[in-house]
Amino acid sequence: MNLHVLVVEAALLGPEPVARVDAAPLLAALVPEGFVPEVRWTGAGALDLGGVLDGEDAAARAARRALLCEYLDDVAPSGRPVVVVAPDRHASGEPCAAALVEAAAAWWPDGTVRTSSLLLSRPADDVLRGLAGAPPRQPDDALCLVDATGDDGAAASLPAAILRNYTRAVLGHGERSLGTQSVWDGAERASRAALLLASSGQWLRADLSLAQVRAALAPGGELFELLTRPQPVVEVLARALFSGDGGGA
Amino acid sequence: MTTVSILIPHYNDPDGLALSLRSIESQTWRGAREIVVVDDGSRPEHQARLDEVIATSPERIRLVRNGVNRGRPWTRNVLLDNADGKYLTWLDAGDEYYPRKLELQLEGLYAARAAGATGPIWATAHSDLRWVGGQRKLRRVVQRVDGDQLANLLLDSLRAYLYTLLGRTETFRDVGYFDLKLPRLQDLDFFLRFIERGGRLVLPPGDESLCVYHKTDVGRNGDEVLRCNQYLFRKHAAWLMTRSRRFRRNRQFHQHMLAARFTNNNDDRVATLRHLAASASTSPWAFGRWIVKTRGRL
Repeated sequence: MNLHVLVVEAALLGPEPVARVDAAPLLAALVPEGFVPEVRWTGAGALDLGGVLDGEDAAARAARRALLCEYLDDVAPSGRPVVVVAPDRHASGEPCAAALVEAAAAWWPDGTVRTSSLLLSRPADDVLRGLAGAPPRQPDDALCLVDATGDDGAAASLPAAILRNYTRAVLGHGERSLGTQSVWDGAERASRAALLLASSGQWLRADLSLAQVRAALAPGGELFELLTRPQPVVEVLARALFSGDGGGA
Repeated sequence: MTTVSILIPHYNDPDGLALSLRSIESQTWRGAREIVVVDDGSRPEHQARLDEVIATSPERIRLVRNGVNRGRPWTRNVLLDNADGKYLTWLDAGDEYYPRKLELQLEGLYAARAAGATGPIWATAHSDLRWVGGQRKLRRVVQRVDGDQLANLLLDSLRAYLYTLLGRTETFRDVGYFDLKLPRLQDLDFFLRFIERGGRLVLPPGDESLCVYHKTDVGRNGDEVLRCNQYLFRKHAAWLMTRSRRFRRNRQFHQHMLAARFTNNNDDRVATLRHLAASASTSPWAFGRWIVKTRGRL
């Protein structure tokens, strides 16, 4: 078995599921001729294996990893590399992708198991890891192969769901960490803001550091610095939402 | 290493087999598979065409010959002995799989295991039924796997159609051989024995039909079907005695009605009347309900 595990920050894979069809061009570029199994055990048909690999405790998660390896044996066309997408961590914080790689190496002692990390950008990766309390990746980390962000902070080649999940993760963090001190008064306006941005094709810049993100989210911060390519209509809507009297937006 | 063995009994229907093979070629599941065909003593003119069909198929096919006609249960036992795959599935020559059958049924087996199932599991599937040569429309057969599966099998809400199944090969072998005393309904007996041994049938994700059965009663002997049903009743009496008298009487009523359908579809009116009379005497209430519901149409 030639297995390629694409590791993605858990926050980028949910809450909005990333459809396989949206990620197909990216995966095809990463592993030409790669077979991406449609693992539907949890019913979603999504790209993310997090739901499949999660379990109540460490033993249950180990059993799920073994079950996945057996399943890949059953469904993989002979001679083709298999690509799976796994979150960095389980919801519990326990490593997910690394444990899968370890289990796969033991399951196929004669096979090859490769890994790549999908980054929205290195700064965005640092932001997410900072929010999750994980240390930043090392600059020479061999796992970091994909960086799809353009110069303007946009990442048009990635599935839109990943961009929207990033926006939600960052805005949600601002709301949770600042509470009533935040620009949205802790009234779940962050999720509404994320939806608003998503509906207008906008997302947060992925080229800002964690310090810049936190400064923008803090009282007195300028939220527009976080947005990619702000359009006038979005500016108007966003000002109504963020200015304190736009609770109905 | 074969992952799935697809087992096909064949008798005098090479063109039907070609249709079945084409449906296997179109499967979305692309893992390692092997087809085992056991020819049950087809006539010589069909043997040549059978060889041609197998030679022109791109699938990996192993042909085993019984030499003489030994009947369906014997042939299915030969198929069971010849299955090399980790999983096996069945298909009768002339019937078809829809393209996602194997893919979704494997998903169903894993979904059940991921949910904690530990005993033997077979994935069944909803299917379509098309009457050969008739005017009747394609009918969807929905499998009901919740509740008491033994009762569901006898009530026909869970159909004992082998071609709807996929499961691990050892779970089929653990059931034992098909009963040679059952020229008909040996598949129902096989299902019942699987459930009695603690097996469980599950459905794959989604609601789509995964195969189509081209059904005909022509040439089938209604009296033989009735005898097989009565033999099954005796064989599984220990379980049946745990059910109510009404349940058993209703099943006997349906046995006679099934025999009547077979004889009717083979234009044997005397035998049809005999079976209908037996149905009416077994359960007048059920017979009256049938008359009202169908206006006497079998």
